[in-house]
Amino acid sequence: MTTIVRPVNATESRLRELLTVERVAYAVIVAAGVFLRFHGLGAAPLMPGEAAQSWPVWQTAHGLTVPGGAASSSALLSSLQLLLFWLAPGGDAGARFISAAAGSALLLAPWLLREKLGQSWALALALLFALDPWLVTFSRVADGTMLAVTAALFCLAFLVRLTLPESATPVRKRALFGAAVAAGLLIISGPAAWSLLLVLLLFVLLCLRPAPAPTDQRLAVLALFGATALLGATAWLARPVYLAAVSHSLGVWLDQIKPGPYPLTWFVIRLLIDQHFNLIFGLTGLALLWRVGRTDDAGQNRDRFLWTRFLLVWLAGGIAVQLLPGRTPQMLLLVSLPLSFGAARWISRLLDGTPAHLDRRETVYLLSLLTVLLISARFALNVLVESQVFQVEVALVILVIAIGSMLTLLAFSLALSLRQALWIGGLFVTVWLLLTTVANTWQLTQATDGRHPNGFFAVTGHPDVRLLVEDLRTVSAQRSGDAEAKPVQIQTGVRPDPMLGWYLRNRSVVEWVPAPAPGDGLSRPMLILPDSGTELTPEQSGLPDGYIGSRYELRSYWLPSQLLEQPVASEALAEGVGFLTASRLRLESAWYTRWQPFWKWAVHHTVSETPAAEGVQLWLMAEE
Amino acid sequence: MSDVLSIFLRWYLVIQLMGLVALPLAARVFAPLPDRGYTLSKMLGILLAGVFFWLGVSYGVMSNDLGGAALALLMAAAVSGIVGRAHPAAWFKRPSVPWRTIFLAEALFLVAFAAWSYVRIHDPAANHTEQPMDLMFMNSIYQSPAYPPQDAWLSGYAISYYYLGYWMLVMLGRLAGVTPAVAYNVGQASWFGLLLLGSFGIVQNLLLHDVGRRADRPTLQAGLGGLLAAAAVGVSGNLQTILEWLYAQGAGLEPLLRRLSIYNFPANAAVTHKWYIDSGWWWWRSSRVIEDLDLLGNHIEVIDEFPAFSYVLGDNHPHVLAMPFVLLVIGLALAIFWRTPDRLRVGRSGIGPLSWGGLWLIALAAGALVFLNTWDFPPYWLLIMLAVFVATWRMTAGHLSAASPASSEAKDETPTAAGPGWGRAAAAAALTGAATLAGALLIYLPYFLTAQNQAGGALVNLFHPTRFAQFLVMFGSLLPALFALLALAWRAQPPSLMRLGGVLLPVMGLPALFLIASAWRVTRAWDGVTRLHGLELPAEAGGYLPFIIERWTAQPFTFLLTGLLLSMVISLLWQALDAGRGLDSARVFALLLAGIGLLLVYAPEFIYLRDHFGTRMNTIFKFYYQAWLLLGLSGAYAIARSLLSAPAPEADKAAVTAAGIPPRNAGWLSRAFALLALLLIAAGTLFAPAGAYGKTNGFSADRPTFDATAYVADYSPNQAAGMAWIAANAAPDAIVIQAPGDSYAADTSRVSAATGRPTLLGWAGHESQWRGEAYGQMAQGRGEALELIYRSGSTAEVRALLDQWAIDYVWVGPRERETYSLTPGLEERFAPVLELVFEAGDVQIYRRRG
Repeated sequence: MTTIVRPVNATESRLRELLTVERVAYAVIVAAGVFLRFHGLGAAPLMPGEAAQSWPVWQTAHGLTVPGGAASSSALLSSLQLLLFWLAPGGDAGARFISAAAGSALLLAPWLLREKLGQSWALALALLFALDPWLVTFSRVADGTMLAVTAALFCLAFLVRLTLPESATPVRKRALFGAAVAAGLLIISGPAAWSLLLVLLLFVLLCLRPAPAPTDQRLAVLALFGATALLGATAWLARPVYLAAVSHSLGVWLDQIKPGPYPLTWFVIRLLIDQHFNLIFGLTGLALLWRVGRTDDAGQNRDRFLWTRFLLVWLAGGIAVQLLPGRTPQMLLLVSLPLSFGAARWISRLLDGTPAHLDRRETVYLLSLLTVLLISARFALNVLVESQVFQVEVALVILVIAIGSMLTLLAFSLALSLRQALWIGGLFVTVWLLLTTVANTWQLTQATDGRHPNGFFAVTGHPDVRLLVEDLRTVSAQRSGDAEAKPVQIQTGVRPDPMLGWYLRNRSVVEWVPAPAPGDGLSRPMLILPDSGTELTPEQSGLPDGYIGSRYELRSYWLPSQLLEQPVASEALAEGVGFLTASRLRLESAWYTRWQPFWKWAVHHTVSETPAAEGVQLWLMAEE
Repeated sequence: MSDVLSIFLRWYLVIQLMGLVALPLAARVFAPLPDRGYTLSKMLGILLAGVFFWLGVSYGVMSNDLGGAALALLMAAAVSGIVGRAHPAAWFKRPSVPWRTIFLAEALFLVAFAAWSYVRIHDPAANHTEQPMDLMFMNSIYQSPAYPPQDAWLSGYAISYYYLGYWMLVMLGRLAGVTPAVAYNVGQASWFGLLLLGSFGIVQNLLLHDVGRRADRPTLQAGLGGLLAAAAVGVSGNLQTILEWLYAQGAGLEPLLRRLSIYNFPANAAVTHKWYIDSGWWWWRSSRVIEDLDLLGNHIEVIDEFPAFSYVLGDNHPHVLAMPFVLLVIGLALAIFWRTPDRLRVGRSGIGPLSWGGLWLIALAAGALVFLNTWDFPPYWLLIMLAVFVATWRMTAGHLSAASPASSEAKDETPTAAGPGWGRAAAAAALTGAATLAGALLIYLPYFLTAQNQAGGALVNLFHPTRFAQFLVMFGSLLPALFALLALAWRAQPPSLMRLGGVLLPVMGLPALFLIASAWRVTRAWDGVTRLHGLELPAEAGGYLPFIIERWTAQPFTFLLTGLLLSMVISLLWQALDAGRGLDSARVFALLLAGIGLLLVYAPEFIYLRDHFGTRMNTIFKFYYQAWLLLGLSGAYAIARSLLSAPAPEADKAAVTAAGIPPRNAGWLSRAFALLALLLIAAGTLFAPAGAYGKTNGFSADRPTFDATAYVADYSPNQAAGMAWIAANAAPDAIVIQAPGDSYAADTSRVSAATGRPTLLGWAGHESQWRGEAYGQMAQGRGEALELIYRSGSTAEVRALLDQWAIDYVWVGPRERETYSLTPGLEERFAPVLELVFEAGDVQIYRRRG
């Protein structure tokens, strides 16, 4: 019988070469990451910092002056936003577009690290970058943080190529030039760049062997670095003044020494709640790396050891800077990024260490059982955190479930093999925590409500600001026929409020005044004054009769650490009772006032109290 | 006190960081110096970072904030690292800077900084003389959002003064996290430390080089000589100090004092029997030793300050702030002087002994003097050119001292067939001078474009020869040291009488001829009227020319002595050039310093610069200040060489002899003069501690602080509160009007001085000095505007004026009420156009509506 062999044509062959499992996986990961970054980008109003960055650029793009000379701290973002605002109408989503694009580009950096890390490690790293709650959050914030992270990781990737033993001269040259371009973009990207610059310096000192380079190559690298920085910071020389943002960003970075609004407990909370996957498996992965490097006497893994040392020092430094009183959300990435490398290593070890003769039926049984136990535990946890009285019994149930899970694993290890049981258990926990990470990411970035902020940033924009804009448009349309025509006077302090500036940017006439001048006659402006908290009467606000006012919140202030700062019941509670009873009463009071609200927030991300807010008063003439 | 200590430590760390950043560059640039420029590295770092910061803000590529200052520091570090690393041998090649040298230098700086910090915290208030002006400049620079820095005493205009010194203080303040009011005092204390450190370093290097010792074996002579220099330049006062002390102890000095005729002394002095003389401003008279008399014999004030006086007075004037950088330029000149490149540089590689990189650094450092204190530029520009001349001469003549530690091998002493290179040396010097000027112009172009010139040419000094007795009181402690130097030099290489005469003739003859010719010209009647028509003569005078002759014949000795000394110095230098031996010896450099110093005291005898004051006051002030430094440095060297010469080791004797350095013992004459000078300088060191003790009332402040404006809270809590409100709530460029200020009155224009917010009119007298004739036009209408706003204008007029002058706030305080008779009724005019935003007792602040 003749076997017919179909000839494989060139296209099909090429397609098969391109569409490897790895590449498809990458594409899926990138797609997921892009979706998380771009979906609902403009849903939440801008934060004050975002407005301070975007408003001056928007004004410049439309040929308008910037009252008060507000200064951006990211020259690169300003240049890119300038281009964007020229080309497209600016909105909240538009303001954040560049950050989202940079965050998406970050997902390509692990591809450059494949030769160093290995395929599975790099792929896992890309997955973690795509799903990381903090990276996704910053990808949706209009500041230079994501630009800095992306540039830094690309720079790191290029520098890593210099350490590969098989780096021939052309490869080395391309890597040098790539690193120069990335470094040039890094230095102009904003305050976060300076911390990441120190990380890159750490890598150079720990891992890079100095190699002689010809003078012309060194000059070329320097020139490329300088030209990139110059052109990138000035929008191709269109805006030389943006260069001042580089020094301003360094000042902002140095100000981290001064006390800020984020307490140390906030860092711990965010690390435990958002990054439990990276925390557990990142440390595990780094420990595995350290063990491999230290036991290799032949020195073949010397590079691996140096790389591990670099990651550990990076992590240690990242934790150390959290001790600075001026800690910021941007500094969290100094902890999460090295942990991500470690966690990705764990995943790659897990995948690479799949037992050869895995009993599939037993595996399904074990995973099903563990899933049921997990769901049960989750139900019990819900009951526990919803109750204002601490229910010891429910807590015991959770403990029993946890112990039961471990006993189940032990039983299966006896029935199957220890290695298989551990592998399955590890897989289960990995997948579970990965899913909770995705849930956290979604909650942090998609499910936010301006009236109930998620507590990642201390100050967020309040949805009322859009209501203010709409009301101004409505009144203006009613009274002048044009939604944007009626003048608005805004009382300002030392500098104009960038949030008001951003959201009122489309209005024809906006006056920033040190004190309101209601004027007289028929064309009195609409007045926006700071909310003094007093009654909304014209006399209280120093305005003539006939004005009516309403309040709008602009900013919300809330951090989860505030839940743990609630006062516990005083000693009076324990008067006249025994020690044990008094202790019990104090514990119950602590549960009721602090821990129950905190755990409820941690599990369900809901808070019953309304966060503090700051706003303005809008004053209009009752009749015209 | 913990706050004071915290500020002190932060500032100290910032200064140390500056030094660290500049070390690689210093090691390369100052490689010929035994200490590799360690004692000058702090000044170099501050200058580099300060200029980079200023250039960045000027061209709009840096923000005027902490970030900009930090970025400038990073850039300075990068430049220093790249340039210094290019020659790693400068760092690692032996001999390197030994720890003992570093320790001594750091100990001196720390002690001086700490000591003067102690003085400043007990006398922090910027409330007399021109201190408010200094504070105004610092706050203006601090608050200015863009370049050029706004002038807080003339809204709408930029500062028209040399302000680089203030700029550097503000920059350091940003890095240390302190306000300008605090930087004012702690910065001044650190500048005192830098002055002493730089003086120490220059003389120490001279002495270490002199005996052919390498820096890893510092001698007692070098260390003590350096300390003596620090004391002579920065701590010691003139002979007036001794006279004041003796008088205070009850010594009968009346006959002497009558002869000296020091203004207000002893009329305003008292016999107190106190070691610190008294608690009044006795030390002020030390700066008014020289007195000119007008034609009728009335007093004309002449200022003859010296560094210790400036620090006791406690102001941050440009001439004070420039001094550490003057020492840096002297160090650069010394490094050039001792350079021994393999070949002379010509064309694309540089000029003479200098590479193009070196030329740029010299342009940056010497050009900075124009921007720091313009008066300082010419003498040190001359010094640089002279150093290039000598170094080039040495190279072209093929003469290198075998005792030079900078030379790696001994050179042949025989002149080469090329012969002495006068032409090449002169060309190199001239080209260096031109390149320095051109480079300085290019680097500091933004400053030159915004500055206004105060000088208006030169005038002949026909009527005011310096009275010799007063001249001796001023420089009496340094003149013996100068004689010691001349004796040392004469002993080594005495010039011929022909040579001396050949120099004496033009040096003294030409100025004399100039005076005679000028006297004839101005006293001759042209069309029946002399140029001096209008100047009243005493009744007994027989005419202008006889009067001039009488004045000069009565007091010719200052002119004669300084002219003679200058001639001797020039002759000795010429002799050294001709002989070709020991051209790189420290003695020759010391002669250069002394020569320029003498030139600075000689020149005002026959010429002075025309300025706002119309007298010699400013010329004497600025020239004598630098002369004090130059004579102090050269004098300290001479004293140490004369009194502390250690025997040269056997191995060095041949080298010492070949270099033309005198035998181990200096002559008896130089020793005698040196001893006298040492005693007088030592006695004069009473000035600084006694002056500081008296001015601070025995360090008795209740609440020691660095804050120069803290006193306002004691003086007027309402004003202090109002100023704090302005600082917290007004935009950096908001215009806050007050009543016009009076020059030297600290209680006027205080809001603008303390907050940096511009006002319509500040100290008009000073503005007029800075801007010359242009000021009239700039200030036009402002006084009338204030009058209308505060007193007589209607509401509509007030509104119009607020718009016209872009006024944001109106300050109403006791001075405004007094000046304009402002009543509550008049203030009611403000309501429609101004909103009351602050009120505390007798101070109100109004903000413009709309």
